Amino acid sequence: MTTTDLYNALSDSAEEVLETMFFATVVGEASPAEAIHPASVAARLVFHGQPSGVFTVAACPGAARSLAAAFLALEENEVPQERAGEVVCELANMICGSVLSRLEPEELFELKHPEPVVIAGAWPCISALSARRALDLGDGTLNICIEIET
Amino acid sequence: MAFNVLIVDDSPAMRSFIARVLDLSGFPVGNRLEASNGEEALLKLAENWVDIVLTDLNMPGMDGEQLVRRLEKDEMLRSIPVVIISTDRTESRVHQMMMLGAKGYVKKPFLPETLRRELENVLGVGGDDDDRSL
Repeated sequence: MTTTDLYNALSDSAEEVLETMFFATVVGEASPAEAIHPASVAARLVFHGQPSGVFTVAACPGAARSLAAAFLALEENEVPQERAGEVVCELANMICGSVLSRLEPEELFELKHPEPVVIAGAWPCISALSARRALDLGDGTLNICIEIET
Repeated sequence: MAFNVLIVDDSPAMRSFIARVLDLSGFPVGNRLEASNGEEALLKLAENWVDIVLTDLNMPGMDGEQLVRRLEKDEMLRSIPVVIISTDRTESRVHQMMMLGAKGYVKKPFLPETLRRELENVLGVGGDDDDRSL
């Protein structure tokens, strides 16, 4: 497995999940070097199998609101903060499941429950084998990252 | 004819999404019950009859796999078909759950039509987009 495999699986999975379940379109790539917005809504989940690793999602406030509104069929100003966090956890769960099945369709994985996390400033992808995308959703940036245990 | 449905998922957001997708898909839902894990699902099933159970796999407490095993052991409840709705899209997991007794498997992300088709297949009804009278 290479970084390119990870990147391609991450890209295809994110776009499929966003379009199918969140009615959202990726309009471009944001700068990956950009610092994470301090009020981002973020979630992280650990997965075990061959391979094991960590999957992280961080949505800037605008993107989190619009994704939650689409998923819950609410107006953006009706989305409570805790529901936005719940939806970002679901998003992490779905993209991670999709990435792993693309990478290793025959493998049995155990996905732990996604947990809300606080991420601000520098992106915490530190594994030697990892891939990250910063997706511009029009309403803000969605950062996604998969790190493989090596 | 409408079908009573039990949706089992620890995420209220996902339960609400599945309920909405069922409505959008045109699948005829009678009573809709919800549970946040396997234990709560068994409590609901002790008091209510449903035609089909839609369950997530990864839940705190009794997870979806344990729920399927419990239902399979129960003389009465084993006749209720279970459809897994999960982010785990690997063929190994699908095979494992079908061997345990699940009757259908919908991989997230999914379209409303995909969910409706799977429910119709499992319940042995409909199957024609031009005839949703069931």
